[in-house]
Amino acid sequence: MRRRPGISGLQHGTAARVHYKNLGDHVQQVKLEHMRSQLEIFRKSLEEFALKHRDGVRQDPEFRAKFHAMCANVGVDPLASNKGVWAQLLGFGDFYYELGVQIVEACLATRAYNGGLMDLPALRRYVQRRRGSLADPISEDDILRAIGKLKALGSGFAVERIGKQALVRSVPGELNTDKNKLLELGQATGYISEQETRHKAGWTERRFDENIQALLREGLAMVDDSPGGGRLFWFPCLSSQLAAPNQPAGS
Amino acid sequence: MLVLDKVFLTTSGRPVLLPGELERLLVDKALVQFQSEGTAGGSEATDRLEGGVLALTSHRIIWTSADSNSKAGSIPLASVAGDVELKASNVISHRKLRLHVRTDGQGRPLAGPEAVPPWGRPSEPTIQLVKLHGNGDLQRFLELIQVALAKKAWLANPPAGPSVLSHPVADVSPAQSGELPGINWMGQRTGSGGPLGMGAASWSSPGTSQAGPAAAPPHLLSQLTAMGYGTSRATRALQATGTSGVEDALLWLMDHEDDATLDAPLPGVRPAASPAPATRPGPRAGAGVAGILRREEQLAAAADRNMDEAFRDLHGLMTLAQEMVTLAERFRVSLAEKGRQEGDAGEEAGEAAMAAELASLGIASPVTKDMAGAQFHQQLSRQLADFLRPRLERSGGLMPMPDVYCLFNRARGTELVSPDDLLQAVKLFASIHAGLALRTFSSGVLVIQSSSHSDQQVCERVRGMVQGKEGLGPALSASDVAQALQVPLAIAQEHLLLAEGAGVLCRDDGPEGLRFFKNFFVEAC
Repeated sequence: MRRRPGISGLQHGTAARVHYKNLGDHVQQVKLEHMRSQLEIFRKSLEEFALKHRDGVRQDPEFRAKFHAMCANVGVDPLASNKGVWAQLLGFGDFYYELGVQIVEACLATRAYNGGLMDLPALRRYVQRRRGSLADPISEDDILRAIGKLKALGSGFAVERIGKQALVRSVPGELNTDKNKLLELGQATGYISEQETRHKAGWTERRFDENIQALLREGLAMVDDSPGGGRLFWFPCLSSQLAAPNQPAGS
Repeated sequence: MLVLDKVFLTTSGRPVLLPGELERLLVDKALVQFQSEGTAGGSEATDRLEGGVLALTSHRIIWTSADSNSKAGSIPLASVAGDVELKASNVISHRKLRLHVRTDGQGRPLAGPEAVPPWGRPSEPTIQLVKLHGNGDLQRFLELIQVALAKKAWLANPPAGPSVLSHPVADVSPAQSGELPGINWMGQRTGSGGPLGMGAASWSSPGTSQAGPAAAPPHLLSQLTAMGYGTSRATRALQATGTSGVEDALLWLMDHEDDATLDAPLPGVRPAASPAPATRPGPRAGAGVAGILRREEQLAAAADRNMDEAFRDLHGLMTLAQEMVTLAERFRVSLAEKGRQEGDAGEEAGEAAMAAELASLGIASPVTKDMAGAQFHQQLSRQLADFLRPRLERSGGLMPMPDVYCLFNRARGTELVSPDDLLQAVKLFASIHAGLALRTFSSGVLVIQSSSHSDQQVCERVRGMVQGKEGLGPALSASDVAQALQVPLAIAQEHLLLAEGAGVLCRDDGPEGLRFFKNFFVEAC
């Protein structure tokens, strides 16, 4: 655009600017409309999906897990709100929030016993018992998702992976690598002794002492002065995985 | 002149509901237009009430003003005469809901036959026209009013609710924003419910269009089978009770729980493909072990087919969702730019609506403006504040967030609240002047604290506990404090750390655990 001198030039310039602004607004409007129509299409297809597969999502834990994995891939959070589109149409919001409530209660009930760290399969069995036999089956994936949502409430709800086990933590505080190592070493039998641990991990006496004292303070370990004279440290949170050879599994 | 009935408000500005009353719909930016004049809550007579929130409950229509002088008034549904219509009075104006309200001589709505004083004669009941309008789906408002008028919930006793059910049935209809199941102000679930809390609220919820007489049985059937009853059993139940509603069918099913012949497939019906656990092979269908095996194979094949189809549909859905997310990203960028320049108000409203839609899809909200929060979160926040206040008194003024989450969801029963929603609602406490606040401790524990709680008081109490008759005094551990102050263990720990920080206690970290003693160093110096 040629810049013209004088008042007419200025007026021309302002007129051009206004014109471009209008154009820009128009383009913005078109974009918004396009987005709205996309949203409509998506919503319709979600409704169709919900109509056909609602029961599948509610009753089949594997399908549910796949669904959540894909949502995570795409970047949507179906559990963000019970008023959201997903929860309304697929109807599993209540399922997960109810599960969250049951998990919190389960952790509270067993805290005195295991110090706030609970084995994931044990948690699942506990919650399943409380829900009763007629309730929809839950899988470990469901529990993990529910705990993921509970993180927002503070108080340290998290899942820690130690060795090959997953432990659910419900009290604030942290496990560092040393404490994790102690728990890992105790996974096989449910207890550790100082001799054995220092031998396997190659630690100094002081290092072992500090870490085991920290675990004792948090209530995650128990001292057992066995009559043979040695001192053993038991971990209640791990011992639920161990079953006596005659006991049926999953009791 | 129409004088609206008085409505009691709680300290958070929510109306106090009658026993058995359930909220159905909320509409904000509401307008109530009187025929000539009207007042609410003692305000001066005007011809219209603007800018508040209109709530439709099963017993009344309640208007609450949005500003801080908290006026409120209600029209009992029993006083509505004739039909409710939705139309515009002329070509230019908006469509409004028109109700005719019977009033007595003083202009108050007349819910029943008028009480006649012994010396007088009954005055002529007048009928006044009231027009309602608001920011929401007025058609749905109309339908819900008609349902509520037909039900006449104010005549019945509070509903007893169906007997023990062990499943929550998700409300199938997409709920309006701001629709909450009824908790009357004492925080009790209206109507009884089973262990997982199936209150009467969900049965008489606005989704009754499915349970109404015009509903097709396949939908009811799917609801019953979703609960674990076999198809044949469910169909028989529906036939026996006349497909009038799921409640009757459920009651019938529970009465006939032990009857094994119900599971025999009905003549002319294929065996169901759904993996319902209650289905047992009937005596007629299939002979012997071969029949059972064949049927198991059929079920497995059907399940596989369903799964394949389901996965294909899922995949298709997810590709669409992917596109949505990329669009949202672009939108987010453009909004961020807009934020830097100045946009005009008209577009902003459209964008705010778009942002709300995206948030409901689970895509993170693109803008962090200082929005007042969605209507839903505001109402939730008020409800939560009313619910928590008495409980906080009992638990010493502090309650950890997971406990709040559990208690509130247990009280609601259905239409539970997600942890994110709860956090949002809690953050709005300041703006509704609830007297409660969220507090974060350094260990990561989140608590709700009432304004009457003071750290000073806690320190004093703890100081009293460690004071011994002579010498050092008793040792305090977290469990002692928890027991004495009647607070949860996590909170007790925080109190101890707080008192230590204030110089009242000093710690003893030894082989017997962490204990606290009186801080005698202060006196010794």
